[in-house]
Amino acid sequence: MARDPLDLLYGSLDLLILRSLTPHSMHGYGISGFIRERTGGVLEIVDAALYKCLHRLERQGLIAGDWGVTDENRRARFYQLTPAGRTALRAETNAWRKYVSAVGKVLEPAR
Amino acid sequence: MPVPRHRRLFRLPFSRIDPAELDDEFQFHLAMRARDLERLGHSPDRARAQALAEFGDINDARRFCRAEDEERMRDHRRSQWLGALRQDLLVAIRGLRRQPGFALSIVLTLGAAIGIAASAYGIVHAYLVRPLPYPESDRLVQVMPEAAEGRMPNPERLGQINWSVADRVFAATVSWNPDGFTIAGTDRTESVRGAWVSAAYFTVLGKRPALGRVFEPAEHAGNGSAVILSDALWARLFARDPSIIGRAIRVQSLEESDRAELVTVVGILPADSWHVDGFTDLLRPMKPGPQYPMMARLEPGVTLLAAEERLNGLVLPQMGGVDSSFRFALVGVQEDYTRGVRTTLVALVGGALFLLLIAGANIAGAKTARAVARRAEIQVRLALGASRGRVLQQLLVEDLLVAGVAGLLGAVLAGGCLASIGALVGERLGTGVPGGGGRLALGPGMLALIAAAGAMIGAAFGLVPALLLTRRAAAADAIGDGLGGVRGGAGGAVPPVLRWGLIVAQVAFTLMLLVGAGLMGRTILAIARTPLGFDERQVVQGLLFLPPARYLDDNATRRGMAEIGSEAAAAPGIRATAGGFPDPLRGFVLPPARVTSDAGVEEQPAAESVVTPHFFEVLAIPVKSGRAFSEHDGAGALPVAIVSETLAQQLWPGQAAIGRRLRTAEDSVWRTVVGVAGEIRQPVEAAPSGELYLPFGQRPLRLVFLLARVSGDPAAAATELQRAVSRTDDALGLGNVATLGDLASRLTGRHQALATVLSIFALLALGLAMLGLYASLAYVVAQRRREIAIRVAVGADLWSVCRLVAREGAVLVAVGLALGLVLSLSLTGLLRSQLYGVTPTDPATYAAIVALLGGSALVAAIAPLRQASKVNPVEILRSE
Repeated sequence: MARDPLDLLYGSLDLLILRSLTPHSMHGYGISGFIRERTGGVLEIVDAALYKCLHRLERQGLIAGDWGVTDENRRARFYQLTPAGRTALRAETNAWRKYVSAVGKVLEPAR
Repeated sequence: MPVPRHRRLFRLPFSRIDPAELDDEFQFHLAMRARDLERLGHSPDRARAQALAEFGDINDARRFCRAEDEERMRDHRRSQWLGALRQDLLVAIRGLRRQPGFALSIVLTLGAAIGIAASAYGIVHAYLVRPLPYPESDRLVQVMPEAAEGRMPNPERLGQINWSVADRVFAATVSWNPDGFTIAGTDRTESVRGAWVSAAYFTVLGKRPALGRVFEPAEHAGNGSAVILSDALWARLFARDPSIIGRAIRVQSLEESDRAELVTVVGILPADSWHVDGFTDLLRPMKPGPQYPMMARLEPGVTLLAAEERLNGLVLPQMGGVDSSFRFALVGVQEDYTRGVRTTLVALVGGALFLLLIAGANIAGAKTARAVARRAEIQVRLALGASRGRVLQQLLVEDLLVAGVAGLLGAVLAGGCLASIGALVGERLGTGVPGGGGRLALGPGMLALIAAAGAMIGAAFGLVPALLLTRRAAAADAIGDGLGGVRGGAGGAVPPVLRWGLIVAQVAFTLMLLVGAGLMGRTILAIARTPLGFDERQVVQGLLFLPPARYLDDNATRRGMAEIGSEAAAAPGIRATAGGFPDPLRGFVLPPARVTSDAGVEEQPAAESVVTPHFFEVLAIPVKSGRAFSEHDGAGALPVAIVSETLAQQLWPGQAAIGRRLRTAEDSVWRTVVGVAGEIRQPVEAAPSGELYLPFGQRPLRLVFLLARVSGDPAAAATELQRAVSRTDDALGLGNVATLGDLASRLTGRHQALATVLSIFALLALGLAMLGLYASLAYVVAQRRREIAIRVAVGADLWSVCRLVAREGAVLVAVGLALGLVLSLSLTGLLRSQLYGVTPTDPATYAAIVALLGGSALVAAIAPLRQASKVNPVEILRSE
């Protein structure tokens, strides 16, 4: 691997998963691929952590899992956002943006 | 957690996940990754291995996910249950709104019964359960002399004991001497009750004055020129002025006139201070020196029995020879304080419990009857696959809803009742509520508990009908029956045994309450009818003490008493006065005298009184033969005595007593009987004991009750009596002034209260039982309409129709009566100590009650029988 992927900030995995599920439902492997692809491999998630997060989010009622069939006709567990998950995603995204811009302001060289 | 809304809106399937499926999910991931790696050129084995390595700690992930899934399932089940509960509640409310009368009747019946039971329990709680308002009050004991009947040693023997040894047994002991005081406030003077208390008063009770300090040793030793006031008295006389501490005020004692009158206020008692002997208005310091310990605090870790053993070991040898049965018993202060009311309280709470049971049985009966209407609905639901538990839950939610409202009503009733009857309860029971009437009121926690307990009890009575309704065995029959409309058969949804049992129970419990009320009613009648032997109306009594400092010898005492008597008799509103000891209503209990006669009868116990010449006139005690005492029965004259009729019979059976001679064990003088007086007895005394009267002139006493027959208002006459005493000698005061009538009715108040309460309970129970019987018979008539119609159609007459319906009811009532009689006979022994003039098995009372209950049952049966007689066969048979 060209370089080590960045370690994920605590809590940001939730945000990434919720965001991945926004367009349509997806299985765990799909989510993992989606995140790697969108970040150009900068963020890579340990699969075990991903599944732990998925089952926790399901328990929290933010996503709902159900068995379905993939394009290749394989049985897989698909997750989709619940309305509560959508609300949480909006709130978390805003919080994240504020956080990033605040950190950005600190890091900018003083003029 | 509530059901997530989307699940209900979109009906997303809730997906279970079992352990195998979790592995499926992981395997899918690994397979996909391995396939992608293969496409990049890895060999299948290597791809598989790398996928597994990339996955991370798969065991940890499995554990974590499994825990999360299980948690999610639990949440789901809980929210499903809550959702069902919500649904049940809505259904229940809708059902109740359809039949508000039924729900209301249950709420009122059950609510009233719970309120009564909770009030009764609240009273018992305040007296018997809740500790007295002293720290570690369970370590407080009272020292009580105890001996076999008639074996109590003379008071002088008790006087020989040096009680300083008590300090070696207890952590601390206290003595007090109740007294009346006249206290001058800023703008008025008031007569109050108070006490002289020994130095350890506050140590033993574990209390402190709220303001100021306790008495100092010098104040006990000197002439007692200090006083501690109650919060109420401080408020009444000094408007809570804190500067009263250290100020000198005028406080006159009625009984200890040799002590200071101008005294310094050193402290104020806490507002909630309370004392078992009732005095709380003011305290003065008692003279030092060992005193009879009235109350003691046990050392930590020392048991009551060990302390008792040790005390008797130290004290009994000091008394010389006493009867072997004599000892000092240690009794818990609370136990002693509530001794007199315990039976009454048990009867009260027992009666209330019976009433609650009757109300419960009544409700269960009503529910059972109504269950017929719901049978079809419930059995259809069962047939369609609802689980029995689910249907039971629905029924229980309904019961709990109604019972919950009833419980709330009961708690409100009990709360309001107990908060307002504190003073009344104490007065009626003759023993104040421990800690004061205000302590009867229940806190919100206790009220919530009552409401909850009431709801549970109420729901429990609904459980049996609910269980029976959901029995699967009954299903097919019931559906056909319910859907097909009225069909024959008296049984129906519920086995008749249940309905019968409920009726029998109601009749039996009602009979028991009626028996209790009847026996107490007879007691009240007997008390009212039994002559006391003296006329207690219009007699005022006060305690008089002639201090040795002013009345040096017997002659001075005789003279003083005569002067007081004549001065008082001349006062307005007073017709005659006399002195006597003890008091006619025996507030003072003395050991019986043992009388020996010239005819050879030895040691006959008799109640001895010392009385002045007008005693018999003032109390209107008839002198049956001979004469009353006169002024001439003095020191130098012939020693004389008067006996009551009973004592005369005991000493000289069948002979005239006048002129015969007797002597008492304490007094070697032979006395000649000059008169025979009518018998007197105490208000609630089974049999009168013989009375022996000695003339005051020949046995002068310093402590004596002044008795006055008054005309007009006794309260005004009492004031005149007090004034007359002070006029004779301004150092004297009259204590514990009361009318004999009031004292007598206080003695019988407990019986009256129990009779009243049990009568109310019994009437309520009778009403409920009649309702229950009515409902049951009406149910039978409704069930058997078709049968009755057929019988009428084939020629049965009215009488045989009525017999058909009434037979069941008559048998049930008879069984209930029999059961109630058996239970009553086995339980009324408990009431024995409260009964007077009637035995617990009085046949007349039982007969009257059986007749009353039987008659009431007949009345209850009238309406259903009329219904049955009006059955129109044509209509009924056509409607089928």
